[in-house]
Amino acid sequence: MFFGKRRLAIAFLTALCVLTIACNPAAQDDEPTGGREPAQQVNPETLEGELTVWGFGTDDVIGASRIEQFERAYPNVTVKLTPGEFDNQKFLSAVASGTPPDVIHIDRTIVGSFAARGALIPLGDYIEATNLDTRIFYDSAIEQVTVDGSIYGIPQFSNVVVAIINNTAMKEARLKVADVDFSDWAGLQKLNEQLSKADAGKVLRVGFDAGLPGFTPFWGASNGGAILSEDGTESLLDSPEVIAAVDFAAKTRDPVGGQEKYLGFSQSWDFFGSNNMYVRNQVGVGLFEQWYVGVLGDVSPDVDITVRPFTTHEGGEEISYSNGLAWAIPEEAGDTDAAFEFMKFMTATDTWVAAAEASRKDIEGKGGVYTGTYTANEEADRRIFKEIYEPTGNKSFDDAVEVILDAQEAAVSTPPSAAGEEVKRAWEDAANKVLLDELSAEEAMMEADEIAQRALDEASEGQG
Amino acid sequence: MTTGAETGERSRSRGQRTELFWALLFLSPWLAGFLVFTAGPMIASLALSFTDYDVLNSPSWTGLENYVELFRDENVVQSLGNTFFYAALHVPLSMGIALGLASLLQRAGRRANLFRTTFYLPSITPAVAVGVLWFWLLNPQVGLVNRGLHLIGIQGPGWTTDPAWIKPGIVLMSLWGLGNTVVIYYAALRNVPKELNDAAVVDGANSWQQFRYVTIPQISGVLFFTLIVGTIAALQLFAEVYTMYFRGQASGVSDEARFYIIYLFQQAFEFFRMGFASAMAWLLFVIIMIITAIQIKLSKRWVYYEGETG
Repeated sequence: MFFGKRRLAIAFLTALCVLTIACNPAAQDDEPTGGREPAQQVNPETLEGELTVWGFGTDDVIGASRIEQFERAYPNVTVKLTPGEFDNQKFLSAVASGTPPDVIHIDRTIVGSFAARGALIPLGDYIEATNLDTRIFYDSAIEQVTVDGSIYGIPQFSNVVVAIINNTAMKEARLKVADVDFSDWAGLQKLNEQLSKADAGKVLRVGFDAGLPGFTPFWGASNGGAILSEDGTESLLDSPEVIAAVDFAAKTRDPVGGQEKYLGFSQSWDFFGSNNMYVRNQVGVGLFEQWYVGVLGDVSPDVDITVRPFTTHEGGEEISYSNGLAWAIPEEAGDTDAAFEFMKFMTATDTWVAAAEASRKDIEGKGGVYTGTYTANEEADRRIFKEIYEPTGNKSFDDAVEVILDAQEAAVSTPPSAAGEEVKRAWEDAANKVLLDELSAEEAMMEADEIAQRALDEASEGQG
Repeated sequence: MTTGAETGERSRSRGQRTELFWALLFLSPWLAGFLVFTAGPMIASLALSFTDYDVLNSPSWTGLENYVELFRDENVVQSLGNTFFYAALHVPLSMGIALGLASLLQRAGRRANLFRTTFYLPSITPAVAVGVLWFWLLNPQVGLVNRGLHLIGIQGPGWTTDPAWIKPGIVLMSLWGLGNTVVIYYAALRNVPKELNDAAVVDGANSWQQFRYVTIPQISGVLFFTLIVGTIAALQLFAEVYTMYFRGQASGVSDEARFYIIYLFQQAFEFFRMGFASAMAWLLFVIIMIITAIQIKLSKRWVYYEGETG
């Protein structure tokens, strides 16, 4: 009798396990449905439907304006937004239960991972059917959403890295902006030491903020390297160029007493406020994404800064690094025609120009300085800076515009890969270990390379 | 022909069956919830722990591979080490401080209610808010904790930046929410019969002896409960630490703050390794079971239940 009960229990558990796996809607059909026939031409007036969009909100004017424009142009399409950052956990749960949203707004670094796992619809057919000219987008942005020759996402913004120089700190240290040479690492470290300031063990100013660990790929690129091969299958984290770049960038924390001191200080910055680190003279020269110039213009229009392009170590050519978000359609999304129309509309040149106009009015209405709207759409950027943006007379921000537009042209990006998040975690952890003096740059990057390569191999095996 | 005894037995067993039916009927909402929302997912995760599963595609059977990897992955070992370190500090400290506060409350007389509410309030603060708040409080350069230490001539450590102080900083933060335990201990202390302490006084016991030999045994059941529950909660710490060190941009010190559940979460939802994450969950389940079994075994030596004899 005992054995009977035990067998029954085992049989029940086995059946439940099999059922659990078999009932997973995501597991039932591995064939991507990207081959669905897209509508050739869509009439905005007659298109009907309800779109669920995850990872996008209307809490800023640029977002709100574009949603309003879409709702006006497509009166019979209802858009249901789930604001806040895109949530992987929620998305995976929705996919597992067979109820994914229609459109997702995700970091471009994750597009490759999702595409490799068949979670996104390739957009080639939709792009062709609706005559969307993808050449309007910056190359670096479109490359990040192109996996094995197929486009899986429509780029939204293009955030590029620029150097923001604090003129007040430069004057205090009797230095000239023209003397800042990013290709001369020895000179840069000397400048860093001159600009850094501490008193009784307390950091008062970071001379040069290299942006590690976040900008590790950018540092690698500026030294002629890359963290991944062009096809995204091979980790190059242990390449001499990347190791040397990380080694130097980590050493820029030395003048303030190392990473611990730096973190203690930087964690106290009023990053988005009117008492930000440029206003309070807490940074000499810092690498930031260009949107931060907009923040400074908005919250502290009187701040005295100069925006300069970063340059390669060898040759001193302008270089930047592009990152940002993209729109994508999940596999098994409900109405893919409406979803693609939405993505196309939200990134269209006219939509961006109208949103930029709304943003300018809003910022100027509040007494701030409109420093421009930078998108991943090159054509839109050209029109925004021709038709909407007007020099403000504030040299700090007026000069920045040209630098940022040039940085878009000079930007490189990391190619998509099937293990984007794991590769990112590997180089982040490695850079942290170097910053904390736990490992040398060589040891840390070799270790990271192994971890990243293993993840890439496992992910590509999974694809097969 | 049936005897009276047989008839009585039959009617008693009929009565028991009816009672069982009604008991099961009333229990059924909870049972259904337990089967669907707890037991079901647990069994599913057990099954998935033997597979390679990314949620987006079908699981594929990999046998014990995930379990073998658990012992090879240095991050699993490190995150377990971080978690044990935290639990070993947090559990005794929180129990000790909560007991101290509850004892003070007992002497607070009519003001006890006000203090009880004050102690309890932080426990209802959302975990994310606690994480954000303490990240500021513990800031080495401008945080209130180090400013306070500075006032008494102590150079505060890098609570959020120095790898050696990250975990002690997290323990300090965790003590913020011990109001729950204070309330439980306070209730237990009030239930200690006054006659026992009076008898101890007559026998010449001082305050410490009364506390050690009368109060502690009398509340040992409650102490044991909070020990078990506190240990399990400590081994599953997630939200506050994730908010402090893993939300958004890289914090720069992630290794020391990577607790077991955080690493499990990363494997499942950042790296799409649901099979491996399931194996991690089962390893933690086994660890918790072992620790709990040891605690139960040891409890026989120090936990006193009034209803039990011998």
